[in-house]
Amino acid sequence: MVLALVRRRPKQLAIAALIVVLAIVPFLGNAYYTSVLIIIGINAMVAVGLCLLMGYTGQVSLGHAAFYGLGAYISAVLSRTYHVNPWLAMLAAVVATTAFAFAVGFPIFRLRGNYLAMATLGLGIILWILFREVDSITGGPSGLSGVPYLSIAGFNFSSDFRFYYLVWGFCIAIMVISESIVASRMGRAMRAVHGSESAAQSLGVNAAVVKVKVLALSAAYAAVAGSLFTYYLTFVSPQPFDFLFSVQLVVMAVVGGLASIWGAVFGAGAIRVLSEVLHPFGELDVVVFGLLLMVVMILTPQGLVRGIADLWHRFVSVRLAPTR
Amino acid sequence: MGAIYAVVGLGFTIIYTVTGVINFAQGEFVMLGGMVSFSLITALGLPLPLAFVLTVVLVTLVGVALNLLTIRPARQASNISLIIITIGAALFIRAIAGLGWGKNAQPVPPFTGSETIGFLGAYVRIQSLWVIGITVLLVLLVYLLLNRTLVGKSLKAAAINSRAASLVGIDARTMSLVSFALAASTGAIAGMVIAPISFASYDMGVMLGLKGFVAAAMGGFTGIWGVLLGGMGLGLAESLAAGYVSSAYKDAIAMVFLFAVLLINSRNLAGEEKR
Amino acid sequence: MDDILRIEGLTKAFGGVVAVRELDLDIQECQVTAIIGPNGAGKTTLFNLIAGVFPPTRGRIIFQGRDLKGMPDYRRAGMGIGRTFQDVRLFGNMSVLENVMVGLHLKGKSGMLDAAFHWPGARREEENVRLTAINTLNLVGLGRKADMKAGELTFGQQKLVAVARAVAPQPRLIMLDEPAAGSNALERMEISDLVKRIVEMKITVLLVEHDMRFVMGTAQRVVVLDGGVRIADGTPGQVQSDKRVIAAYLGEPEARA
Repeated sequence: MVLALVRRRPKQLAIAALIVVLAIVPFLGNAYYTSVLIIIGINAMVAVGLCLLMGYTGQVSLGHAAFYGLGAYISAVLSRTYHVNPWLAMLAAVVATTAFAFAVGFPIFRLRGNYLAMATLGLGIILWILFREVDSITGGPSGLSGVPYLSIAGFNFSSDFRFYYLVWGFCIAIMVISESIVASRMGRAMRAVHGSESAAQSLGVNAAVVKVKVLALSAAYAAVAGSLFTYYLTFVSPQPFDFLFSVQLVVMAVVGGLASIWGAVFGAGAIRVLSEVLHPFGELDVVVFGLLLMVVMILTPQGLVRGIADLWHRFVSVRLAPTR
Repeated sequence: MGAIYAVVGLGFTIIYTVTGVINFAQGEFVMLGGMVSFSLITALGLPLPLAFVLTVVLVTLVGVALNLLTIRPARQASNISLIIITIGAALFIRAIAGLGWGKNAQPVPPFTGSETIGFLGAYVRIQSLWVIGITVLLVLLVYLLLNRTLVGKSLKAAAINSRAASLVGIDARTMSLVSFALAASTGAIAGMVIAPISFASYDMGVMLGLKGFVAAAMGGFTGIWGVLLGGMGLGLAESLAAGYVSSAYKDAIAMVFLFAVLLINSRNLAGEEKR
Repeated sequence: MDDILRIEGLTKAFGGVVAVRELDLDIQECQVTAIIGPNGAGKTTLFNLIAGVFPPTRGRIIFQGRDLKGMPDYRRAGMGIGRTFQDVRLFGNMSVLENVMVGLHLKGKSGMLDAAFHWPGARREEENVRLTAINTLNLVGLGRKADMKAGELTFGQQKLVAVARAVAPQPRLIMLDEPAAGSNALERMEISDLVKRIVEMKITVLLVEHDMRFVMGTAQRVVVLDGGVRIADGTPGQVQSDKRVIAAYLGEPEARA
């Protein structure tokens, strides 16, 4: 029975299972798990955006931390320094970051492959330097503290418990939206651009516009995540938005199997857990990330999740074979 | 500094022209050069020339290992995959170095004395002269190697058309290996000569690697002389920026250069679509 | 009959190599015109010029009375110019049906936001596109493979999907680059039939092919290029007996392969 259900409706079952597990965790009363899962949810939103860009559209970005950081800083500065309502500040952050992505997207996507990687990397570093050096606005290396909490009609998202549901609400919304987009006309155009740009163009797909739109969408996701991140910590500093985080995002997407939204969320979770476990031992986590990147890319280019899913399918079909 | 960028860029160019891969771990070769020489000289007390040779050998071995363990098994992989693999390698090397040597910058003694000398009214550290001297020597050596020896000619042939090259008995895989070894050894030398000026630290690789890439890109990824000019130009622009604007934005200058070069050349660099 | 496509003084040079030289050519509506010639004669270059992959060095391309100068390839697709590629270029990770649905990209309007919020207009459009795609797949006889990954088909089937993908939006002109290459005799007959059915749909066909029997049995007009220059032009019968054509082919015997 159960196996049959697993086989026929794997996706719906997975969604239901995820929601149930996520809903229960905060009631376990372990504050540490809750806080780790909040960070995972935030990272997952950025990873899903990167997965749309890299996995589905085939355009590499090594500077995604820049969009994440831009969202965080705009929200923080507007709400703290200029006392704008935090939700409005977040909206402004998303709009501004998306506009920024549009602006840089057109020149940047004239480049391909290696050069695109380098240009996005450079973009990430330039923004990171700006976060660090424009003291008067960003507070320099030590950052800004005293960012207000989010609230709705007097209900404060000040505890981990409340914030947790807020973050995962956003994250699941982003996942559902992304799944719909991937299956749509736009999603087909994205995958076509990945498959063969010249063939896509011969069918009337304007590849440059598709790429820029996806970049803008992923930037919007990153800005949402960045905003939530500062409202969670009520603090912002340049450190979380450095080159290493951009690479970590790539690791999440790669471990998740590039062209899989679920995989990206899983990747975000796996990488965060690895970090939590290994970080106390110096930079051992980074050693493992490096290894993971190499091993996964060499052995299973579709990612760990896909590899495991293939094994699972084989397992299920073998188990079911006699009953057929 | 410009000279160092040029040498790092040289490594990028060598690997790129032969294999078409941009090796993100190039900066880590430089870091390893600095750190290994530090250990050999300070911890083991080896004399400088011996340490120099040993460092080059060790780092070259790392380059060879990188090629054998990662690039070769993934030869069929797409461009994006190869980039990600070299990034993974860079992270790995960097983090191992961070674990092994700790996170503090290590002072490496200069080759000959730490005093400065006056020259045309400006004061120059003697080590800087070493940097420039060794750079020029290195560039000349690589130039001779590529243009005057059989290995060099084979490398060039493999770069132009690997299938045709394999028909006349040049193995593209071997050439890829040689290019990594060459890039690693030039990187190591760069790391050793720069370490006494800028200290050696486990995370020096990222920025150096990027700037080396900028130098290589400015040189159009083709000739040795282009890279040399690119590196020098970048070094000059940086020190001007540090002087007139603020040294805090020094690194940003390199990135702005990067954009400028990439976008101006985007038509030439766009390359062919992968299929 | 009207000219759907007029080419005037078209020249394309890559560095020092001139691939197409001062070519004048009129293509009549609802005909099958075959372009033949030895390797390196400039056939695929001509297709790429018409499709707008790269700009010509000199000369004009006029499609349905409109000069295409400076128009990018994706806009030319919107004008009604479709094509296939010699090396197929299917989107390997997508299903066969989805490949054809990309061909109908310009028949839809829905964007990212429509998809994100499941607006009813977008859903209706999606249903129409799906139906058209299935019909087109049935036309090439691959309706039953609709849900397979395109990369898992045989080479011959992939070529048919590529044709379906280009035909689906009902272009005015379709350029087929070696549709029969790599196919066996039976498949070649099927493809020849398919080409005739495409013409019945009021789509003008321009094709490049090496297989002489296929060309003679499919095309109403044959244009022979050699070294980027037209050396013969006429019905299949006329061209077959042309001395210069025979010379061009004998001069490079492997061109038949």
